[in-house]
Amino acid sequence: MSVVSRRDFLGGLLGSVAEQRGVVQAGWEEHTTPLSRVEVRHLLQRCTFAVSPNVIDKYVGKTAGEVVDTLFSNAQAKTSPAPPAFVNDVIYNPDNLSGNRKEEESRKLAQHYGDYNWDLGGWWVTQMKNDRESILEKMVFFWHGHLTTQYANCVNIPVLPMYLQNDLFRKNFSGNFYTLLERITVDGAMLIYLNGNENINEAPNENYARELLELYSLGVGNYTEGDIKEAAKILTGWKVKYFADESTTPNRGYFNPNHFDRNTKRFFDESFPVNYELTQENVYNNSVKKLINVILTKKGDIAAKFMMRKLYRYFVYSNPNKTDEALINDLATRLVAAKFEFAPVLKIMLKSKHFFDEKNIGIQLKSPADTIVNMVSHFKYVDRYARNVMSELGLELFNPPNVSGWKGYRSWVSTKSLPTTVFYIHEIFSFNSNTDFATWAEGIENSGDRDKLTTRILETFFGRAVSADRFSGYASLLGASPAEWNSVKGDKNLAGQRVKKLMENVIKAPEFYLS
Amino acid sequence: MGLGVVSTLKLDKMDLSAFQPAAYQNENDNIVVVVQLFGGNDGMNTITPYEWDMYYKQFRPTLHIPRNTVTIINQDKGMAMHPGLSQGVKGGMLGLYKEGKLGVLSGLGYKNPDFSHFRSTDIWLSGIVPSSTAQPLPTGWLGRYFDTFSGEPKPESPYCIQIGKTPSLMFLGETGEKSIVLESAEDMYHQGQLVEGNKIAMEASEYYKSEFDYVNNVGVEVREYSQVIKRAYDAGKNTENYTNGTLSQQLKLVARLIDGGLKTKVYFVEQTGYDTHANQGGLDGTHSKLLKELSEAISSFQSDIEQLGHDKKVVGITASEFGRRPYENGSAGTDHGTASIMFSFGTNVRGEVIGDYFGYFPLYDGFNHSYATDFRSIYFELVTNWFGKSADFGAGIFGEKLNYINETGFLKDTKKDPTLPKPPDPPVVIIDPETGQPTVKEKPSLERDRFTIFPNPVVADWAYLRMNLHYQAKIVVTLVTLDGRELGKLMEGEYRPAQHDVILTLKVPPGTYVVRVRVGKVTYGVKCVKL
Repeated sequence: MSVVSRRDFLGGLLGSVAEQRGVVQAGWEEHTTPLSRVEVRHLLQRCTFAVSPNVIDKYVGKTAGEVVDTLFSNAQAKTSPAPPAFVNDVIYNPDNLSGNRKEEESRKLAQHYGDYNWDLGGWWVTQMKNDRESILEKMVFFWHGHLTTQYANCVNIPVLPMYLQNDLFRKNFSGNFYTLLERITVDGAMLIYLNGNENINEAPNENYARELLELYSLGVGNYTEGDIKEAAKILTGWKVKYFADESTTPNRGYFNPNHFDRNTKRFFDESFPVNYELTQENVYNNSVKKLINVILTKKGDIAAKFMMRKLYRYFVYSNPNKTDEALINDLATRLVAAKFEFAPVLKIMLKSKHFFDEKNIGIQLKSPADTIVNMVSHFKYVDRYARNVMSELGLELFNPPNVSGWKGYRSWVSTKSLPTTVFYIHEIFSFNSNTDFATWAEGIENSGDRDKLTTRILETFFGRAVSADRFSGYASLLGASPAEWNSVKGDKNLAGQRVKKLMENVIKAPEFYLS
Repeated sequence: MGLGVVSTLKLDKMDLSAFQPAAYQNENDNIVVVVQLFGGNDGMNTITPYEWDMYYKQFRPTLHIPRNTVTIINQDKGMAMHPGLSQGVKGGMLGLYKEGKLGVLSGLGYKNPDFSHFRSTDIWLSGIVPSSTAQPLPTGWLGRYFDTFSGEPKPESPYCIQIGKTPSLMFLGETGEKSIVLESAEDMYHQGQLVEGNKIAMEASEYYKSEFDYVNNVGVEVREYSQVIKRAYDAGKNTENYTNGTLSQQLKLVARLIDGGLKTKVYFVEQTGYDTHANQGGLDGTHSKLLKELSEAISSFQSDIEQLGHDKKVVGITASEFGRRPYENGSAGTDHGTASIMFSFGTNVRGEVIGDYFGYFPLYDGFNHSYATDFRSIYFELVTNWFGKSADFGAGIFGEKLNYINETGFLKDTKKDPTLPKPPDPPVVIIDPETGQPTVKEKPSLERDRFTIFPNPVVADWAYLRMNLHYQAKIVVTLVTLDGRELGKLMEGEYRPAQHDVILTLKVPPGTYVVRVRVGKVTYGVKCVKL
């Protein structure tokens, strides 16, 4: 598939033409009144990929503080899901083997370069759809779109380093920015993707250094070309190897002193002398960690604003106005004070009156991950196919369109993606019989009541409630009257047919694309 | 730079009021077909410097297209066409060239080329040549063109149609996407009937309205245009045979939609696979296969559109994100480069070679070609001469006026315009490999690498090897006796184009030796005397 890049440096192009949603006066003060159904749904839609009415039920009446804390503590408990089977594969370099062994390893390697990267996407879809009560997968996806790596390149990146990177995001889902940046700098997949592997003293490769400053931490305009050159030199010598016979730590970054620039470097007015023995640990501490430390210490305010703006756009609204920007700056100050621990600041954001303000409800455009994962969490399908559907819709897991990640916001809904989404969800529906639809509806509490069932289905998929007129339009698809639904609901075939009809209309509605 | 020059930086956020109000119904009927060769086409193996030893021996020792397979298209300029380009109906693209319907536009590129795949792609699609790496490239040149009609109701036919999957930056304007993306008219029609195609009135919640309306309007547009496109598809026909290749099928659809009366002004089709870092191959390789498909597709399309009687209003161009480096790399491929060639096709194009062969231009930094013409000149000419807009209007799209390629352009009707700025001077060499110093002097790329030993005779157990390198290369230095026996490796490493002095250890008995220097695949010998 062709890749057309949409590198949007300011991140706000489409937004610049849109009308703003109006000023939300409320700030970061905590929203303390017990949560209504609408509010719980709002919180879950923004923090998970899979929303279910029964889960909403659990949290109605609790406070934002309680629910948000639960979403984080649940996440903490789930950071080590069962990995896909191929993660335990050990691969030897086929070039060092002969005969059958060579053939066998080559075959295995080809799968690691190709098919398994797709399988890994399917595995992630499974994690996403089963994660209904934690913020984990939304955060992992955020980091994947921020500290980007594409497995598909001129020469693909094999699946194991891609998995390890995902695991890094999982383990640090709301953790410390210092740690994340340090670890990603010597991450195996990243070393390949942005050529850190080729960044050697004789010929520094600036690719990673540039993106580290431009896209991963500070944003354009906050460093010079000279800073990039020096950062590249500081990061020379890190390598990665895939094969068990060539490395004791395959697929992970390691240090090779022969390719390290031993001269003293200067970055952001800080000196980086090489006055230590060149062990991996020493270099990691004195070059990698120190570089990240200098960036986040000397330009902490800028980095914090850069990150909090991105997180605000991800969780609250993608097109912030001036009032929102002031609030973002306030969060940035808190992030600096929290020494770049994200969890406490994200919690402030998600528990706030601002987040729960009515004006912020239902105004985000859903990504294909939101629409498709939610759908397959309710209806039968194959997770690996769901990964392919998302890919057709412009969101291929482990393969963002370019180094700046997905553009998000209105780019998710285009004249190409909208009809394609509807088309593929019909495809998902076709995996389900009428009886499946009926059984699914029966699992929803109060499904015997036509209007209650309609309400529950709409709240599962819509960003906002619809007008009374449109509501009765949807309800009438289940039954001409509440009584009429009562008379057919026992007939699984007929009831299922009607639920399916309702769902076919749900996916057409503009609200279906809003969260 | 003439009057009406707008700073490029201004294109970050274009002031649409700078344009005269344009009326879409006054647009002429002319149509452009853009064939995007995704990945960066290797110009040097597309149009080969068939007489040049350096091409066969140094640049492309394994990947060259053999001399006896190419067809000379311009003897004076030393240019020949890849045999794949003679595939297809009526002699393929070579046949079109012979009939005067194919232009070979050579030496296109831009200032301070960017080697990032993404960035360079965006530069070509946006039609913005940034003044710094930080400058955003938010919109495409056709997006900005159609932005000028944004005050008017949407036209009956979409402004632009992209056959493919992903919306291209080329069509993104300040006021949204200007293209409809589809793979098949029938699929689109079918899918268009499934979406919500009616305008839903949202009364309450004003703040929510803009996002709701945005989604709703996308649906309405899909519904409307899927019907318009289907009508044109049903009314149109094809008269020529096409192969089953993706690009052929895409262009077949374009011809049929044009024949069906669609008023769309720009069609965009794409062929993928040109990013040949590895396994590019020679005559039987990946790149050759792509060119064959390209030739088959374009020749069928041109023949079809002529037989259908629309050729007077249709011109096509090929575009690619960047060229590739003259030197092949170690993986039987070529890396992202700078200047390259484009093709134009149609009955209204100058069917000749325009511009000098880019392969003979100096290497501005030691390993990338200079360019002669800003690629936006081709777009500029389409805006002014093909779409009939003023040069000032063009400056509004591109931030500045640009001269036409070769000053007379690639379209038959284009005339020299003395008010346009002079074409840019060829870029300067940045590092002089002779002195190791920056210089403004031009360097012919034929310059050979040079190696000297000093002091010579060698008095101690060591000597300097001075290397004047014109290209980045892996260097392996060995010591050899006069009768050709290798005594051992003295040094090995990757070096950039510049002057380097390296110390060689020569612990050998007195006598005469040869220091053998292997640069990539070429070997040099320097005699030295050990006292």
